[in-house]
Amino acid sequence: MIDDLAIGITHLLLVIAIIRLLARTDLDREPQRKAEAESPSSPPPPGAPPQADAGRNRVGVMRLPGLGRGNRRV
Amino acid sequence: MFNLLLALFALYLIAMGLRRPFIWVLFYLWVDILAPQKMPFAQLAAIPISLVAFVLAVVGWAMFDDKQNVRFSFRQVLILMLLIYCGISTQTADFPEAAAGKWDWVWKALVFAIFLPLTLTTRLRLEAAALVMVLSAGAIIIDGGLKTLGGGGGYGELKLFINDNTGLYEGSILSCVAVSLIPLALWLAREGTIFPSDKRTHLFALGIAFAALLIPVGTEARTGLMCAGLLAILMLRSAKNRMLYIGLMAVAAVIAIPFLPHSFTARMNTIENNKADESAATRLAVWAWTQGYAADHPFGGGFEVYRANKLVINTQDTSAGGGGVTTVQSTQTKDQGRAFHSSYFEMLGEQGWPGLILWLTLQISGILQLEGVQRRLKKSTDPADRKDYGMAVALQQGHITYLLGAAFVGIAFQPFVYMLIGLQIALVRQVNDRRHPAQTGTPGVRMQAASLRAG
Repeated sequence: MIDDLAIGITHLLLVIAIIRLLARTDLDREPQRKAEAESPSSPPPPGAPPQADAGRNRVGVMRLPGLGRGNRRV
Repeated sequence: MFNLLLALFALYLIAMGLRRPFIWVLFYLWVDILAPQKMPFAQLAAIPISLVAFVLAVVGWAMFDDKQNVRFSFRQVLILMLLIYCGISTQTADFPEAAAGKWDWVWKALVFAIFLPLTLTTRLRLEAAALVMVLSAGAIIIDGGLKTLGGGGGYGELKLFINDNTGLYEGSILSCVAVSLIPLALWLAREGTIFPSDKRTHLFALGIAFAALLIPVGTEARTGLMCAGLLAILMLRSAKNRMLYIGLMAVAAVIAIPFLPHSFTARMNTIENNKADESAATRLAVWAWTQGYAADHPFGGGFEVYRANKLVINTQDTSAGGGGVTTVQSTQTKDQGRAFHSSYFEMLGEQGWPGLILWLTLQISGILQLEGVQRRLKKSTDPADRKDYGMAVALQQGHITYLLGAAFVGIAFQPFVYMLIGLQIALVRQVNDRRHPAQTGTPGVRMQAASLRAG
């Protein structure tokens, strides 16, 4: 009786654990962190379309010292 | 009934491995810890299930797993050297047949210890392996704990799934392993993602920890009590509120002592009065014999060489009589072929000084590497780093506890500790890879210099 209980509890948990593992995408490959995934310096994945306007986008995030300071509320 | 459940569970794991071959690695861990094929009336007894699991795990990894970052660490090389050394010493063993019998399972434990870290390439895999280890051993621990609560314990009396002294089913070995697993079980409850941290996981982990602490009571193994004492001290180091921790431990001890069976307290008292205890005196005699043997045979005598020992055991029983008179009764008995009762002397006698040095280097380097990981991640606030830090603490506490138990039980080649080592190697490698991403992504097999740095 106690044997059945001990095996039953632990193996029920093991079955649930395996079901959950099978549903996870990070079992075989570590998920990329958001910061790394969105980093502009990271190379594009193989087969990704070329970024024709990458240069223009980069200009968009540049800031000059003091730019926009006048709009800030004090 | 439970044998049928185990057979169905084995088939389930084999089938699920077809979807994700890593499940076969977990299958091997489960088989090696629980030994379902050895249980009475086991449906699995007719199948070499351990071999099947081993082959599936290796083939699954070799054929389907991503091997882009496969590297051998310094400690895997140490295990390989130990494997080769033990293979050679088996060929020249003093007791060739007995040595071959032990070699049959030792080589598998060592090869799997080299192999396991190669498969644990993600955090989730590491957690899954730890969870399967805890739950598989947990089945035996819960069984023993409940039977102890029901009064079924006693020295050599606790009946578990398998009534023989093999693997984890030997009282002292189970006590040591059960206590060593407590930090890992608590870590899984705190940081687990397969069973995310909540009240239920904490309650279950505390239940396993309580059952694990009952195992030394149920088996009346003195080793287990010492392991529990050491673990309490080690956990003090990582406790957030140390004064509260000390207070709770003291209260728990005060409450627990009156409920302990008399036979348990009587046996634990022999730790202090070991001169009167024949078991302790036999150990001392075997250890003295081993030192002498190693002086004559510095390269060891191969597995099971303890069979050569012939011992004279002296015990001294001191009792206080009336009128301040103390009576000392000395007894001398002769014995032979007594086991080492210590992993350190087991290594010294069987594998000589080179084997002992290799084994000690393997153990101590792991503790140092985990210390290195803790120091590097201690101040990090990244949740992933905190998780790695917690696992490093848990594995280190478990390993140190195991090494204390190993001083009194011959468990130098117990597969469980090599699984712990496998987890350690994988954790150190993963932490290094995350800290030095430039070193990852190199194809092929190369030495993991980064793991040396962590030490």
